[in-house]
Amino acid sequence: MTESSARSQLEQMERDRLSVYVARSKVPWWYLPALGIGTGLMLASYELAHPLMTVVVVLAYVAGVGGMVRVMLDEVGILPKFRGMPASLLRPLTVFFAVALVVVFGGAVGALFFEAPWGYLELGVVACVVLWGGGRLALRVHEARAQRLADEMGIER
Amino acid sequence: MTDLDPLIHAPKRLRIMTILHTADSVEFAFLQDRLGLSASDLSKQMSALAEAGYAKAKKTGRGPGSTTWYNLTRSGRAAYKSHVAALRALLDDAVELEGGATVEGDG
Repeated sequence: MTESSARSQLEQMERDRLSVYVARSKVPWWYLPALGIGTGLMLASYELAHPLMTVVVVLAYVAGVGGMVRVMLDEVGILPKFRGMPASLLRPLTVFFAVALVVVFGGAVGALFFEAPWGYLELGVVACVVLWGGGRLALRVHEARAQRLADEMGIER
Repeated sequence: MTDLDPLIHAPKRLRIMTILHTADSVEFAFLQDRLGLSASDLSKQMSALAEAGYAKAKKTGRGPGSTTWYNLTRSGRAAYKSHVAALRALLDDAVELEGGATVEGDG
C-alpha cells in the first residue's frame, strides 16, 4: 500500500466519522413537546393529585420516556458516542442537558426537602418550557453548527 | 508494526467499521443512507464482518416495521484500532523515509 492511498483512506475515515455527527437531525417533531409536557405533568401531579397517585404517575412517566426514546432512536437510526463528538456540536447539547437537570431535579429536590418558594405546578410549567423550548433551541444551534462543519469538510448531509 | 487487516482494508467495509466505531449502535438504513450502498451489498458486507466476529446484529420489532441494529464487538473494535494504527504507521514510515532521503540529498 502506498503512502498516498493510506493518507486518502485516513482522510475518508475522518469524513465518515464526522458524517455521523453532522447527519441531518431526524428527531421526530413530537419528541420534545411530549417530553416537556410529560415531565411537566409528572411534576405538577405531585401538587394536583394524591401523593400515592404520584408514584403511579412517576412509574408511567419512566415507562413512557423509555418507550419514546426507543421510538425516537428507531427514527434517527443511530446512537452516536458523545465522547468523539466535535466540541462545537457537543456544547449546545451539554448546556441543554445541564440546564434541564438543574431545573427538573434541582427544582424537585428544592421543593421536596428545602421548602423552596416554588410549588410543583410552577415547576412543572418551567420544566415543560425548558425541555420543549430549550430542547428546540439546542437542536437548532446544533443543526446550524453541523451544517457549517459539513460545509467545511465537504460532507453531504 | 501491526499489519493491515485484509477484511477491514476493503473500502466499503472500512467505511462501515468507521461509522460503527463512532457509535454505540447503528441502524441498517442509516448505514445504507450514509454510504450510498444497495441493501444487498450492505447485507453482504455486514455478513462478512459478522462472520469474522467484528460486528453483531440485533433485530428490533416484528414484521415490516422491524429494524436491524449493528454494533462492533470487542474484537471488532480492537481490529479497527490496530488497522488505523497500521495505516498511521505507514504514513509515519513514509515521512521518515522522506526525511532520510532529504538529509542524504543535502549531504
